[in-house]
This record gives sequence, structure tokens and C-alpha cells, in this order.
Amino acid sequence: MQTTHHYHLKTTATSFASRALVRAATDIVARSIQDEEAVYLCDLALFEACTNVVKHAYPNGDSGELEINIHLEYRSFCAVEIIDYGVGFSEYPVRIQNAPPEAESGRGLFIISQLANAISIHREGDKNIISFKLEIEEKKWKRCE
Amino acid sequence: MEALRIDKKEDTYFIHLPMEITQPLSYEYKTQMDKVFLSNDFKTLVFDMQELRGINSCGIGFLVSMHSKCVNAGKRMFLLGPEAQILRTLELVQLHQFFHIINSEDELPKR
Repeated sequence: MQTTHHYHLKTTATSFASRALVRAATDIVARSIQDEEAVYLCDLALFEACTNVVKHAYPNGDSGELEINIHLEYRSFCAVEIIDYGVGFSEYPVRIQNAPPEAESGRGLFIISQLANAISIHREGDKNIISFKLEIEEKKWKRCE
Repeated sequence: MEALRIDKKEDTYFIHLPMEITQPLSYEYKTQMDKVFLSNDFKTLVFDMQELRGINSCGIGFLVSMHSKCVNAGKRMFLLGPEAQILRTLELVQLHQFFHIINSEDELPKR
């Protein structure tokens, strides 16, 4: 019985395409996880990370790639990497904090950090990588076929 | 792009949010809501969240911006009927007490 699965998804970093990519990634996760809330939270974290890429990685109308790597470890965790090749963060380590109540933006990474058991934001060569890990209780996984 | 569905009952606008608010939609909706604020013919805004299936930082940003506009214009704002996972997301960013959340129209102030 195979208990580890890897997936690689890729598109251009536009708002429409990134949402479609996140939906595809969430569908993959939902094939293994039966708990609706766990799937929703995974979708939310993916959506926030990809929205961050669309908003910040390719400014001035530049186009660029957006990739998602998913690692599902059956009955244990879902680890995700969101990769782009555009502008990185202004400083590393990236400081993640909640925005003040009146702020209209600046909550995306904080939401991911609250949902994930671990989060890492780093640059490798020309790649910007947001990675996070969601530990998911055994009972929330579908039975292995 | 789908426009926001807006109804008016007396001095209250009901803004029916769709299943999801994405980044481009939030920009579009702000433009649409600017016209509502320009009309200045209301006292209360109710964002009907009963069809909304989830909310991300773009949707939250849109609601915060509407809240600021209401405060500045002396209007009241309510979120109507958010699902449990939306409440949980608002809690996550510590905004669950920032907004006035109601479960039915009956909870709206009478005047």
C-alpha cells in the first residue's frame, strides 16, 4: 500500500489561473482527506499563499510562473510548497504578524501561520518558496483504496 | 465579472455576498459600493453572508474597508449569517468582535 504521494502543479501567476490551480490542488487533497474542515483550511492556506504571489511576485504587469508541490503522507500530514520566480520578500526571515483591525491588507501570511503546524518562507536561487505543513489526524483521512 | 446583488429595504441596504470573494472581485465590489456610499440614502449596511462558503484575506480586507467607510460616514454595518468556518477565520485574525455579527434580520436595530 503506497502511503506517500507527490504532486506538482503549475500555471501562470494571474488571479484567475491561480484560483483554478488552488482548486485543482484542493481537489487532490480532498481525494485523500474526508474531513471537510481540514480540506477547507488547506484550500484557505493555499489560496492565501498563491494570492500573495499574484499580488507581489510579478509587479508592473510582468507575467511569471506559479507552482504548487503537494506531499501527502497518508494518515499523517499534508506538506505544500508554493513557488514563484519573481520578486522575493524584502527581508529574510520574513516577519509574520497580524495586521491591525483597520488594515485592509496584510493578513495572508498570518492566516497561513495560524492554520499550519509549520511555515517557512525562503529563497533558493531564483525561487521564492512558501512552504507549510498541516498535520491531519488519522481519523480525518479517507480509507486507503 | 459578477456584480454584487444589492437590495434596499427602507433605510437599509442588503448586500448579498457570493460564494467567494477573490482579489479582483474585491476591487470590483469596492467600486460598486462607492456608488452606494455616494448615494448617502441609507443608515445601515447589511452584508448577507449566507451564500458565502469561505473567506480569505481579500474578502476580509473588503469587509474592513466597508467598515471604515461606514464609521467615517456615520452608518451602521452588520454581517448577517456567516457560516461557522467564516467565523473561525474571522477569529483567527481577531476580527470576530470587530464586526457586528447577526444571525437573522430580526436582530437588526429597529431604528
